[in-house]
Formats: sequence, C-alpha cells, structure tokens
Amino acid sequence: MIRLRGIEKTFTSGTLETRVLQGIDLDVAEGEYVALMGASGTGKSTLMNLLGCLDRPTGGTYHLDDRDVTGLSDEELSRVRNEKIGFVFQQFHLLPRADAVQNVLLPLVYARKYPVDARARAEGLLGMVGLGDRMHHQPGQLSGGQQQRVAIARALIAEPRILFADEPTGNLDRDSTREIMDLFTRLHSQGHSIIMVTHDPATASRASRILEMVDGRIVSDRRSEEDRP
Amino acid sequence: MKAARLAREGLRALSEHPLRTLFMMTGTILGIASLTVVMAMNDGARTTLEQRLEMFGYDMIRVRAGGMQQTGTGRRDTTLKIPDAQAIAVQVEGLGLISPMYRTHETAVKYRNANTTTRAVGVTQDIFEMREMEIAKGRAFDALDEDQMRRVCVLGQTVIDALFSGEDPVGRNIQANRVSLRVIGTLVPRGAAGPGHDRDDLILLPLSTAMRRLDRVDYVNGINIQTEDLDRIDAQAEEIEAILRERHHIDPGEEDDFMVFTAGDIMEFRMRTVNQLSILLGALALLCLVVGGAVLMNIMLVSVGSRTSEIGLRRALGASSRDIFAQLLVESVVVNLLGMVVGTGLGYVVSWVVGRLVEDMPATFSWTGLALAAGFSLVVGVGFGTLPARRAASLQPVEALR
Repeated sequence: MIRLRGIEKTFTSGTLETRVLQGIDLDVAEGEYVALMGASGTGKSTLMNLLGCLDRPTGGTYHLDDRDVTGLSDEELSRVRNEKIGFVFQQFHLLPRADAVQNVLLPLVYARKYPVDARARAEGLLGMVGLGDRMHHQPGQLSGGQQQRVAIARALIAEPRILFADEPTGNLDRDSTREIMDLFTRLHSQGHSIIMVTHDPATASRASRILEMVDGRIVSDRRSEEDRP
Repeated sequence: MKAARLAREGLRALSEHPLRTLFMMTGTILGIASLTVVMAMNDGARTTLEQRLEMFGYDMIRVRAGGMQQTGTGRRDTTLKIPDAQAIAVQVEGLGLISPMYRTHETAVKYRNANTTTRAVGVTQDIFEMREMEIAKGRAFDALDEDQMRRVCVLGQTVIDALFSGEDPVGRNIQANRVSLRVIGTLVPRGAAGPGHDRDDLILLPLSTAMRRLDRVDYVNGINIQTEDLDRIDAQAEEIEAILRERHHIDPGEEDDFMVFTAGDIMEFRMRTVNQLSILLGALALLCLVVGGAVLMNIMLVSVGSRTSEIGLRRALGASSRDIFAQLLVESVVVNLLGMVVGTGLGYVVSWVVGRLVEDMPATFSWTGLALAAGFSLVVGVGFGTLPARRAASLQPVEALR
C-alpha cells in the first residue's frame, strides 16, 4: 500500500543544508500497525509529514496505493489527504467552538462528494469510540482522552486507507493513554492500517511492527511475535 | 455543493466571533452610511430644484435690476426702466408677454385697527396671464386701472389673514403707506417656496400706482418675460442682455447692472454647488470605505495569524489552498455585504432625521446610492479580503500545524 524508495528530505536555510531524511526505503502493507520510534530530531516527524502528504520529499519516490504522489499538485495532494488519510495529532486540534459531531464532520467539508448519511456516520463513529452520550459537547467540556477520541472519529469519517497518529498519547495521562491505545488496537483488529509516531517503548510495543530511526535512516525493522508469519 | 460548504465554514467563523465581525464591519457601515446620506441629499436637492424651476417657469426669462455684486446688499439699482421693457419687446423676436414689476421696500398696511407689514408689488395685468398669479375672488387689474393709476389692490392670503378676521376683503379699503387702496380681488394661495419665503405675503397693485403713488420712482426692479420659442430661449436671453447693456451705456469689460436668468441658468448654477458638495462628501465617504477596508484587512490578517493552527488542521484534513482562499474571501465579502445592509439602513435613518430637522435639505431614497453602495462594498470586500485570504492559503500545512 505504501512504497518508499530512496526518500530524501533536505531543509535549506540560508547556506545551511540539513539532510533530515537520507534515503529511506519502506513498504507498508494493508492492515499493518506500525510504530515509528526514535529520539527527537531523528526525522520521524518529517517522515510522517511526507507519508501524510503534508509535505513533499526532495528526492525519491512515494507510491500510495500504487500511485506516485511525489509530483502531485497542491490540489491533488489535498484530495489524497482528504480521501485516503486520517490524521490524529498530539494536540487533538479540534475546533473549539464546534461540538463533537461538527468536529467529526469537518473533513467532509472539503470532500468532493458529501455523503448523504454523513451525520449518521459521524454519530455512529462517536458511539464506536465511546462518546455516544457526548455528541454535542464542545471540546472544552471534554477530557483530554475524550477529545482525542473525537479526533480519532474525525480521522475515520472519510473512510481513509490509512491512519497516521503523531504521538497521540503525548498529552494524556496514564488512564487516558491506555484507553486510546486500546482503541487503536481495536481499530487494528478491525482491519485498519495505522502508522504511529511515538518515543515511548510501551506504546510502541502494542504495534505489530516497530521501526526505529536514527539520523534520518531506518535502522531497525522488527515485527512482534504474534504478527510474525 | 462544495462551494456552499466552504461558504458555511466562512459564515461559521464570522458567527463564532461576533465582536470581531462587528469591528470588521464598522468601516463599511460608516462609509456606506455616509455615501447613502450623500446620495439621498443629492437626489433630494435635485428634486427640490426641479420643483423650484417648475415655479420659476421653464419658458420664463427674468431680468432683475442690479448686478452680481449687489445681490443681498439691499441697495437698489435705479437704471432698469419701463422703456427698457418696451425696447426688448420691439427688438427681440419670439417673445410673448412682457411684464415689468416694481417691488416696494417693507410696506405698512392697515385695515381699521389691524396692521401688518408686507411687500407691495406693482405689476401689469399680464402677470395674471403668465400664470404667475391667480385670482381667487374678485377681479384682476385691467388696462384702465393701470392707465389711470387707480388706487386698487389684490391681496395675498397671509395679508388677508393678518388684516381681516373672517370678513370678505373684496370691496374694503386698506391703507398702504398712507395711500388708501380698494381691495378688488384676492389671490389663490401659493404656499411657501422654502423657509422664510412666504409667497402669499404680498399685495399686488397696478405698476403705475406702485411707482407713482406709493414710492414716487421712475425705475422698476424686474421684468418678467415669457418666450414663445423655447428652443431660442438662451439666444433671446443673450439678446436681451445686449440690448440692456447698450441702453444702459455699459462699456465692454464693465459688469452688467442687471441680471438675466432662465430656468437653465439657475439649474446650472445650483446644480454646480450641489454637485461640488456631493463630490466632496462622496469623496469623504469613499475614503471612509477605503479606511474601513484597510481596518478589515488588518483584522483579517491578525485573525489569520491567530488561526494558523486551525488553517493547518483544515489543510491536513484535505482543504486545498484554494479552498482556504475561498473560505476567507467569503468571510470578507459577507462582512462587507452585511456592513452595506446595516450602513444603508443607518444612512436612510440619518437622511430621514436630517430631512426632518432641516427643511431645506430633503432626502429621498436613492436607487443609485444603493447600487453604488453594493458595488463598493463588494469591491472593498474582494479587494481587501484578497491579501489575508492569500496569506492564509499560502500557509504550509506542516508549519501551520506546528
């Protein structure tokens, strides 16, 4: 589903060039649950942004669903994000004055086609993440864990091919972290593909595959016991 | 349909921040309100002027004694005389009735114990035929009254009200400057022509009576001339001026000691003043709109700054930079159209109040004003909304989300 070949990313500021990604090859198959680990500054967030079509590589090719997305225009990339990718962020990024349902519906504002059952779908997803009784609460009225669950429902509304989660539990306490991680495990068991950035080994251990990055390279690629063929 | 969804997002941003929206609208409201007032006043002035010209008479050429400098000084020129009127009648072709007139200074009039002051105006019988004056009761003057300098008069309604309490004035004798005049008729009331100008506050008497018996003068202070050839009215006015200059021995380069007007002259003169004022006020209103636009742009730029992460989020969820641009532009255009609606309403309220307070400044609803307001607010909305919208659209999702 995802195929990276020789992906490079270089940031230039003035005369200073920083090679953040130095030739990354990676294949991710449908249904995998990948944890991307590494200390800060190793390029995992940059890789995540490239995978999420938020940014373009300076070298290499990226095929998503057998389509080369490296040279797509802003318009086309936006559509790819809208239709194929669901994002979950560390800071939740909910609209503060919109209620849970409206927040979940947000990606559909930018969809080419607005599904007729959008509202029912949003309510169904909120029920699925355990917020059936909080549909019309605004983010300020929800706990951190609940806000992240709204964000996960939002990430699923457009039925994406893959979920990207960037430190999704970084702002949560232990109980909420466990809830959210259980939720990801559940989504994985339902067949969702997930790539999650984290620096916490305990969190990463719940994934089926763990990648480790050092200095812009993937240095280790392990599959967990039960996932090994 | 996507456009509708984007528009709804724009509207939501506005309704979620009512105070910010109000500030964004302020400039437009004030600008459009003042523009509306200006347009309403301009249209009102035009309407009043048209009414005045109707009163003046589109087929009239009026000569007044005294040159430009003398206007409003109260001094009188004594050079305009009855033979001038006769010369005009003989030398200018295509003229109809010609009626010289003499207006006394304030004249005290008295009937029994009642007295008042008014203008006594000496006119020839032609004045009645020119539709200038109409008899309500009794009769107008005739040639005999004029030739024999008879002591007769016709009264305006204001004078009747002041002297006679319900009594029929026709046939009574009144005193004007110690001259006894018999009332032979009354005038149809004509109402006021603007503030302080009561057109019924006068008595009419034969020209000869007024000049000889009341004031003992040999000059008149005006000649009313009706043309029978409307197409030539300007040429006729010029001929009249030339004749009078010659008769009054005015050297080339010297100023006239009289004035000749037509409805067209007045129109031109008055509209020039009105238009100058309108242009000035209109420019101020436009300035207001531009300043308002700049304020709007600033507020939007600040709000783009404070909404960076929200914009980044929307980008991540699939908004293209064009979507963001459209959404922001909807905000500024809607704000401006709202401001236009409120401003127009405010403008009409102000015009109405001004129209009530100042009699001479009537204001009428102006479709041109409304169209102009709509046009300008759209231009301002798009013009000043573009920069913030473009800045928002150019935010890189990765950086915006950070």
